[in-house]
Amino acid sequence: MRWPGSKSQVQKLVEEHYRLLYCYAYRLSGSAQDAEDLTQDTFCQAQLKLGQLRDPDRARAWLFSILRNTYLRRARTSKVNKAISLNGVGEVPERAPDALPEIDPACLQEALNDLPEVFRTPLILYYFEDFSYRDIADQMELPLGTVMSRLARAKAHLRTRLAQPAERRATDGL
Amino acid sequence: MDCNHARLLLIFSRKQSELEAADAESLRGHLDNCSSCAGLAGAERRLDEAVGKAMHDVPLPAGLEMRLLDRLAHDRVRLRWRRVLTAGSLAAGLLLAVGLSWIFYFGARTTPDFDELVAEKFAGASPETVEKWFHDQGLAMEAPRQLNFGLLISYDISRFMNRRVPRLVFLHHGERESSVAEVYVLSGDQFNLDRSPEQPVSVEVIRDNPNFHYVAIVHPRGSLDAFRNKDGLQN
Repeated sequence: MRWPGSKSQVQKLVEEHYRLLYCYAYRLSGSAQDAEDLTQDTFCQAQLKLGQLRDPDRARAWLFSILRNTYLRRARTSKVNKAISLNGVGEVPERAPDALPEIDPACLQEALNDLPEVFRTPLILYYFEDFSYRDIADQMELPLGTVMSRLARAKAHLRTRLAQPAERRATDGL
Repeated sequence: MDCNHARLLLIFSRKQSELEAADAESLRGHLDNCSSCAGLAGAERRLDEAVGKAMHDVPLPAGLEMRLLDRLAHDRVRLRWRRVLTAGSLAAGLLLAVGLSWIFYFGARTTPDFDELVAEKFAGASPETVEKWFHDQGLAMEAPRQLNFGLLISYDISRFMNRRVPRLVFLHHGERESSVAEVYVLSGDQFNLDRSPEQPVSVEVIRDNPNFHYVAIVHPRGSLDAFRNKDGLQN
């Protein structure tokens, strides 16, 4: 049986990382309830496995990795897959996109929800500035080139999706 | 650097510091001279800024930190109890194993009952009693009824040429000395009795049963006659 980390260690971990972790969980799952559950489960697992964290500077990446694995486990169990295929999405914009208005966080979430997880995760991590491309590749256990390719396609989808007028987004569904 | 290459790099320009130094320099040079790509770069930057800002714009539920800490504290207590219970279960299991071993080891040992030794095995053992006892031990035999079972003092299973054979011990109190006859019962199932060798001086063999030969050794060296039934009567 594993020994939980000390109370003060775990408290410090929560204080420093819970906001960003919840934010990641929310963007990944698209639901406040799921995000809270994921965040709680992540910290509970972290409390059990704290001895595995050798380098405290890697705590954030470690927690994100636990959260993603937890999310993937749940997603496999629920077998819900609303994501669209990105086969039709190009990698490089052919023209300069129109200037985007300020992005509504809810619209952003809708666009993220459309993406398969393998595209959604690198995109979210890309905008969480603490993560380098190498970090993202490590998190996803993928080669750097694969991550960058997925990121390019995910950004192209996001650009297209966010540029659509709201009424069209509602009926289009991509 | 051509426009295609530049536009590919633009996608990742948010983290320019991670671009190869040569790529970053080439990109800057290209953007200085290409208004089309420079426009795209500006649009890419604005998109990244807007998305980055919206990405972090997630309202935190009220009291989330407290709920997280509460749940973790609850989990710690639960884990402690589980540890205690696990340790207790292990200790109880160990005690049970030790107890059972003790009972099995010491409880299996029986207090010797000498009366049973005398009463059941030797008192008044008739040929039938002896035959039944060996039968129960998995050895078929016919008792040598030519001998006086009133003199029988013991019977058991012995080994002869790596085979289990019945052994009967008779005691005769003579006028001057006592003598003992050890009689081994050799079965035709175990030995080739047709090729039984001539008996040596120290051994006397009774061969009148075709299925069993009775090989007797008398101590001190002497005759088996003293152990035979009087007048050839059988028991």
